[in-house]
Amino acid sequence: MRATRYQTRTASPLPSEDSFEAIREAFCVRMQSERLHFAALNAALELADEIPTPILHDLRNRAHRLSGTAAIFEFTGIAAAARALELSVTSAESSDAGDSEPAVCTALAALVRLIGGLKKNAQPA
Amino acid sequence: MQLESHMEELEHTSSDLCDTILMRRLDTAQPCRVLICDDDNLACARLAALLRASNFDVEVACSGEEALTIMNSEPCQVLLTDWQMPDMDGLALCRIVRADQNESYVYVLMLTVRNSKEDLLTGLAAGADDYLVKGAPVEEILARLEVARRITHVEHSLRASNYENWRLSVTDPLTGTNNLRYLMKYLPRELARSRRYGHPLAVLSCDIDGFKQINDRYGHEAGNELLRSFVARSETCLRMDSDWLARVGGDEFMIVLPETKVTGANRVAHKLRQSYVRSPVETHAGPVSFTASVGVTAVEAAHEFENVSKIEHLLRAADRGLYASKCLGGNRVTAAAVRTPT
Repeated sequence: MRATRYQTRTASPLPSEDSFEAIREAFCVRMQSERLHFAALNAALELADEIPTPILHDLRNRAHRLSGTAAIFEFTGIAAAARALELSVTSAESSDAGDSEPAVCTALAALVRLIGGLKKNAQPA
Repeated sequence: MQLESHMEELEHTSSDLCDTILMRRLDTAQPCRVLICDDDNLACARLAALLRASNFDVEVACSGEEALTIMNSEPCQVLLTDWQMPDMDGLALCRIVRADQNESYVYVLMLTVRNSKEDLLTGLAAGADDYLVKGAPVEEILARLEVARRITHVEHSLRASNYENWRLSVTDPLTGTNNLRYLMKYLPRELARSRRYGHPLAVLSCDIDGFKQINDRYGHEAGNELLRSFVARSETCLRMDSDWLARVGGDEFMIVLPETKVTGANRVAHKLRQSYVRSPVETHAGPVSFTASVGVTAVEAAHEFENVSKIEHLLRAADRGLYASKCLGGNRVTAAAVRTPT
C-alpha cells in the first residue's frame, strides 16, 4: 500500500459499537433532525420560483446519504423515497428548463411525510 | 563436479514461487478482517455491529483515504465499500487497492444505492469482486460476506501451499538446509548486491574427507547423521542473519559469506574445519570422526567483480581451492582467486 502517502490513522467515531439498539436509536434521532431540515426546505421551495443550485446540490447529497443509511437500517420505504428524491434532483440539475423542479418538490414532500410518520422507536418495515 | 553439471539447467528454472512475498511467514490460522468504508458513521456502525455478530473482525473507515491508511497498517481480507463518498469515491479506492501489490488478495464488495446495470458493470470493472445494492436484506449482505470469507480463506490456503511448495523445492530434505536450487537462485542476487554496492562477497566450497569410506564402514544411516551434524556444526560458525549454506551434492556444501573479504573467509573456514575435528559425531553406529576440506574465494575490488560475470566463475574458484585442499591430503583450507576470463 502507499506507505508514504498515508502515515497516520484517525479513529472513526462509532455511536455505540455492537449495540444494535443504541445504533438504531441514533438513526431515529438523526431521522427526526433530517425531517426538520427537509421540511424547512420543502416550505421554502413551495414559495420559491426557482431552486438555487447550491440548495439542489445539498439536497442531492442529503438524499443520497439518507437513502443509503435508511437502506442499511432496512427502512426500505424511506430509502426508496430518498433515492427518488436524489434522482429527481439529479435530473433537475442536468436540466436547463425548470420543468424538473416540480418533481423535486413532490419527491421532497413525499419523503418529509414518510419520515414524519416514523416514531422514535420505529422498527424497520 | 555434480554442481557444475546442474548449473546451467537450474539457472533457467528459477521460479516465481521464490518471490520474497512467499518467503514471508504465513500464519496457519487466518482471521477474516473486514474493512467497512462508508462516509456515514451510522451506516458504518450498523454494518460493523452486524458483522461482528457474525464473527468477522471489523475495521471502519469514513473515507477512502482512511481506508488505505488502515489497510497499510494491517492487512484486511475484505473491503466492504460504499461508492459515493467525498474526495475519494469507492471506485477510486477499488482501483488503488487493485493497483497496489498487496501481500494477499483483498476481496472487494461494493455496497451502494446505485442500482443500474451500468453502475454494476462500472463497479466490477473498477476491480470489485461483488456488487450489492443498499436495501438488500441483511441476510444477503452477510451471505455475500460469507462468500468473501470463503474465497479469502481459499486464497490464503493456496498461498500457504505455494509457500510450502517453494520451501520444499529449495530445501535439502536430509539435512534441512538449503539445496542447490536455492544456491543458484540466491547466489546471483548476493553477487549482484555486492557488485552494486562494491561490497566484498566470499564463497566457501566444503567437502567431507573420505565420506564414501565412512558410508561403507558405518552404513548410510550413519553417513546421513554425519551430514546432519556437519550442517549443525557449520551453522554454529556462521552469522545467522547473513551467512548461509547449501548442500549441492552428496557431501558437498557451499557456504556464502556476504560482506566478507578473503581474510575473513579464511578465518571462518579454519573455524569450520576445527569444529568438524573437535569431537566425533555420535551416530547409531557409534562415534564417527571426520574432517573436511575447504576451498575459499572472494571478490573484493571492482576489477574482481568485472571478472565474475557469472556465478560459475566464483563457484569454480572455490572448487579449485577445495581441489587443492584435497590434493594436499584434506583437512585443510586453501584460498583461490577468481581467474580473469580469457
